[in-house]
Amino acid sequence: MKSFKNNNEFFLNTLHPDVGEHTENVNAFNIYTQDKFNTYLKKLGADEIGTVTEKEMSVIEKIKEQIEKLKKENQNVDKDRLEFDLAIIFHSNLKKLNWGRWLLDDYNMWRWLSMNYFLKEVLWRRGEEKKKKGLVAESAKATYDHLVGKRTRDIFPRRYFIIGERLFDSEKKYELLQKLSTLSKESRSGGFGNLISNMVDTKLLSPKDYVSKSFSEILFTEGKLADDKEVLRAFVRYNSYKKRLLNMANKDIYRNEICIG
Amino acid sequence: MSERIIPISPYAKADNMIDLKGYVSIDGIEEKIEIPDKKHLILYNFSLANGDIVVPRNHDILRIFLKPTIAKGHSPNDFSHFLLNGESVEKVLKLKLQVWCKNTRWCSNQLSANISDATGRKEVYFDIPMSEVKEEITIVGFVIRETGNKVNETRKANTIYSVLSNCEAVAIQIDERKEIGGNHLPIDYEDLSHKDMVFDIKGLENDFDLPRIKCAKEFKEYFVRDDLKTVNSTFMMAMFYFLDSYLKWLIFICKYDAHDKNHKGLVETFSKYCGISKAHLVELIEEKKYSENQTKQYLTLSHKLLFGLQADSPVKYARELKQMIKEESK
Repeated sequence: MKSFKNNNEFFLNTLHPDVGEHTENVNAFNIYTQDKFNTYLKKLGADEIGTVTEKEMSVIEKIKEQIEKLKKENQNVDKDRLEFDLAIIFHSNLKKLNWGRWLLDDYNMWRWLSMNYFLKEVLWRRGEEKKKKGLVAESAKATYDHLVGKRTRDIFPRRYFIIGERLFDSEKKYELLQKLSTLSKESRSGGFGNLISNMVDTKLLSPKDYVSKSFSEILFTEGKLADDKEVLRAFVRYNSYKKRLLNMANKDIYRNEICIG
Repeated sequence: MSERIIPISPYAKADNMIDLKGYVSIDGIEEKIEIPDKKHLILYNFSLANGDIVVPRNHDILRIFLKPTIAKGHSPNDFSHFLLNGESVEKVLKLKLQVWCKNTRWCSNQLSANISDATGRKEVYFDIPMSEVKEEITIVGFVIRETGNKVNETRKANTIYSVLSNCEAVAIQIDERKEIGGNHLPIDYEDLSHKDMVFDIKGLENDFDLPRIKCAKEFKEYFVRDDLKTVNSTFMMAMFYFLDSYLKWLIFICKYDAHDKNHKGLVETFSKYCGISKAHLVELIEEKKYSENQTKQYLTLSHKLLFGLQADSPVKYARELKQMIKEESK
């Protein structure tokens, strides 16, 4: 896979929609095609190293194809409800390249992958609604934040790879992610957003991501959908039990002491 | 009930009662690499007895063998002081061991052992998949209650999974560290030709932002190469001064913020190179500036730094220098 030689600061100083007096950066996110955007990156001085193999290319194409299908099949679904589907798409495909967690801190590689192939997908996911309302600068900023990744945890493909890593199970495969995907699309309520941001943001550590899986199962798949506050409180409670080693605790402990509303 | 009022009853704990001894084994390499007493093993570029150099990233799996042992000065009976009346150590307490990586948040399975097995003879092992970890892995051990008890006794834990004792964690460095000259020591280039200088450090008077190392711009094209002996030796020699300046800055000038990642990064670096615990170093930084004790401690740490930098950094000074001399004298 290729990687940028430039770091986050470079893109913040050259590509961010707030840079410069003219609107080229805003247009780059809102109306440029992927090819034009890539040429623009080179014009700004973005430099890359490495090579892309045929296998990597075919995986990238597969991901794009599957996202396109997801968009078509869920035109009336709130995009926030498609996070688990995107996680399945990115994780299942990138795993074919034997990608593991040791690549997670290779931010320049994730950024290269994101910016060179997923401009339209990020605009659709993050900027489209704003653009439709005429808020083009806001749309460009939202797209920048997730395409370039103002915060590394937001870089589009990396974010979904992490969610996949947290919830994929070597035996049950994508069963939990699929369940969460169905549940999140069925209902307008539920604190799925907080579940995801806590899984991506916090330093949850547990064998086979047992904590993430237990939280997701107990809070969402046992007959009741926890709301945003309940999810938040569950994570706060878990983090406050510093004096107990709960990362492999019996699920009843989570039910009775942590995920209690 | 709000999470702010969850009752967490204080109870007696005692750390470091069990010592995590052991070794690392890598497929294709016969030598067992012992975990040193200081609990920090630099496996990256490790020199084997036969002169070969280990690069863990070139292997798929690392196997870590652990032989937990009751620490010197303790006995298994000491654990009974943590228990409630009538409870037995073997039935209630367990030693839990796991390995994790703070960079990737990968965590191994948890192994469980009886306290009576902590004799130094019983061996357990972890297989670490290299594709899941990066830079450093940490081996941790905890003695916890495996059962709860409704009885209340002052200063005694009664809740299941309460941690009664932490073992000293073992850190194993598996990749080249980024911190030296990377995120924690900001280096950039500046025109220093008018001063006839190669290096400078600016911002030593800041009390929050890290000082920055400045290198002369005219050398940039050479300094970015890692195949030049003169460049390598220049940096090897300059590094002690750089680090020592940062140590002085951290101790005497810095208004330490435990939430600032640059400050934390420096503390971590010096904790390794100076062989001091992070907590102890932070305590020293927060002491009255230039107090007698602070000054004395700095002098000791500065000397330890000179040693640690040569022996504990990824670049082994003596070995590098020998190699350079050998090549130069050909």
